[in-house]
Amino acid sequence: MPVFKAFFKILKVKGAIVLIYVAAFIAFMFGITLQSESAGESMFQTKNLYVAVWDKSRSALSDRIIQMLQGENEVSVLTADDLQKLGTTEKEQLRELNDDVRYGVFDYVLIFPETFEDDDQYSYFSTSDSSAGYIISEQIDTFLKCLKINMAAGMDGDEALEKAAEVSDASQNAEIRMADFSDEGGSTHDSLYYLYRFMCYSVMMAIVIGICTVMTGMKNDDLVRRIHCSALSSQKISLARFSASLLFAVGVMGLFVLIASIYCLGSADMSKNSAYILNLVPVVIMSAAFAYLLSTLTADESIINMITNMVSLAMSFMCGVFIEQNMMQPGVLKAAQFMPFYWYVQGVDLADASVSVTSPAFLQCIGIQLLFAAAFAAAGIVISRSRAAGK
Amino acid sequence: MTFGHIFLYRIKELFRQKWCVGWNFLFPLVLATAFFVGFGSFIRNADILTTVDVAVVETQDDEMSSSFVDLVKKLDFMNVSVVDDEEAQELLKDGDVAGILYAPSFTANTRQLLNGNTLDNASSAADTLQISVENIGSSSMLTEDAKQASYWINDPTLTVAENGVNQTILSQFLKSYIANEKEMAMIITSADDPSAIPAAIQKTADMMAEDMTFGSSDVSLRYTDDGRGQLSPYMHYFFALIAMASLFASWISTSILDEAMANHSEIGKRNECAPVPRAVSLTANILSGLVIQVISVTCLILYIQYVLKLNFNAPLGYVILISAVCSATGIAFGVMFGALLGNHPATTTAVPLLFSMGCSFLSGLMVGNIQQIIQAAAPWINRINPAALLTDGLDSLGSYGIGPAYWQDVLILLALTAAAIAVSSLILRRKNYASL
Repeated sequence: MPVFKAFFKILKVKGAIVLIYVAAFIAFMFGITLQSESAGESMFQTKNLYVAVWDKSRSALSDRIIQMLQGENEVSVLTADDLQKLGTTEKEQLRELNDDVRYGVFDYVLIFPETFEDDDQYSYFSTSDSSAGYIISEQIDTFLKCLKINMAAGMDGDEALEKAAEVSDASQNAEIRMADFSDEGGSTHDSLYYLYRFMCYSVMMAIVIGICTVMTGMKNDDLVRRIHCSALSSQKISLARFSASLLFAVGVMGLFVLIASIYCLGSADMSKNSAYILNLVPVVIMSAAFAYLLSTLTADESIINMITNMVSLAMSFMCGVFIEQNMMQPGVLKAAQFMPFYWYVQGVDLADASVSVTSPAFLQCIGIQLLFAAAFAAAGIVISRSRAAGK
Repeated sequence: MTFGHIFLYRIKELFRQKWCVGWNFLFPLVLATAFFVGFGSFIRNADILTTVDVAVVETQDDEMSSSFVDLVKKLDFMNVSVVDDEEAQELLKDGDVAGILYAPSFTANTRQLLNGNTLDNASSAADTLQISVENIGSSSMLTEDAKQASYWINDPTLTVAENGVNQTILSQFLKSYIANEKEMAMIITSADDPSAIPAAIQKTADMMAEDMTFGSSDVSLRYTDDGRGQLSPYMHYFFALIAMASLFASWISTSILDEAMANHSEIGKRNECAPVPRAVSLTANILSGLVIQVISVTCLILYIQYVLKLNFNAPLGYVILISAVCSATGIAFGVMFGALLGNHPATTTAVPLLFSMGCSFLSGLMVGNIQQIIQAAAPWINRINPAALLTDGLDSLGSYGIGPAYWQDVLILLALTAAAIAVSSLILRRKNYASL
């Protein structure tokens, strides 16, 4: 009990630093999440593409095409003020727009030249994989083709434009069905999903750095000697330290979960919250065990920070925390299966798809994460004992 | 002599400190390798058109279905599997296809109008329609229903399991196909002379079969002056990593200041008592830290270019130059934090870590496009964030070559460095051993 209490006494002294870390990683988590939120997916919705339009022609034809695009996409028609903000020369403006496309601010930039009404030729920038290029260009080309066919059939300009618009509107009623293979509900990928997906990185960083900050304080020579003078066995001392670390970790987890729940109240499916929390618990235990292991290896805060950053950032990139798992190479995903975050992200995806927490898949994810936690804790205990024996 | 002595011995000392070697040399290399493993293939395959896997189910055995299947197979961005419905559902459930396209077919009305006529001379769906219309006879048989495309053709449909880009591509293809059908129906029904309908159908079909594209991708700005290819947006993660590695120099300078001030450490007391002027001592220490940092960032840049074989699309000298300037900014900010925060325990660890991580986060280390979003919402943040300045400089260097944008970023970084040093000087110059 004295060792257990000592942990929290030192935490009280170093509370400001620990709080700074926790606050910073909560901020990171929200910063990442806000970029990734999307609407529910129970019915088919075309992916809203962000289209910027620079209309130099200001013709009836370009207006009609813009109207058509606005039906399914987020269209921004660039005004003179917008262009002024991008740059002073046309070259600078085009470069900024090109950068906006390359970094995903826009999916497609459409430019109608002054001669558009005469020659029907437009230019565009799109993402490098050409998916947005196909989608938007195909919409525009289909419209223009219908227009040309109408004019070849003898219609005048206005009638041809009107009929082409009617055909375009009618084609929007294409029958597209959403198949549902999940047990119930289906994946939503709402804000709660993204918060929990990124939470593993923030939680691990906050817990490991917080615990290690306190543990380095407990490695004060005088304190260590006083503890070892006591009647407590080394096992009890280790158990007390680990218990205190775990309690701290649970407290940090509670804080993260509380903030996430308050943020998502009313805007996300909270029935999945318990599954998310259940999936997060092994990460918390694993982080506490990892912190315990690190603290037995070194007392240098800089090295602890370095190792923690290295491990958590590398795992986050390789296991699908920052980049979706379905976008990663199969070989990388195979290697990622040897890391706990991979199984955490799998668990988050299962929870989002409303898979039962007692299902084999979900239990497998939790079980493997707990195995990692056990491995770290065991390594920490072994190293701690061997060092104590050596002394 | 004193300056040189302090400079050299500080370099030796820094190289012997595990945290310095680990943070500044090892950590960036490990993270660069993790990035490469995670999404290096996206960078190498940046210009390859992604294909969409789709299952096609022929709903009936007629020319409409078969011509639709032929059309889909010809599209180079579709990877087509022609299967039955059950197999298609399995493929969709397993995620092997993005969607199932059910081919269109002729309605019973059309088949009735064909009256079992052979279709030897009907090589396409348009021919079939033409024959059907000819069999209608006079215009009085064109009822209101017959003026709708649905009278002749059962539209193709699409089934997907989730929302996404590939599903949107398939939906757009479907809508374009249906638009062509509706257009055909409109041409049929708008003809004044029924006897002219078959010719109108054929002409429309011919025009639809033409490869008409009206847009061109404007690539004139996408290449550097010597015509090298566009820089992949995923390289931005590596630029943000270089920025973070450069800003790790703040750790070095906070530890330098820790050992230079009497109220920070025992070594600080001894240094304060030494006859060396503080300006000389600090300058030598800071320059030694800068040398270490420049060496570590150069190693990282060379590792990315030659070991991971990811091209910066720019002369390496300019890449190293802006990284060195950013390292100087990191060193200067570290000195400033040390001067401002004094002996607070957060100075040596928490503040440099959060400074470098925070700036790197806002420049796109974790979310690749955050810098562009900040540029649209609050561009002044990008102008004062050293990491954002570095990534912007490298990006404009790789995309557009050496130009005003690159030099502007270098100059702002130098200005930030000068400002941080000026603030530190103001705080530190009046502090002597007696006043600490």
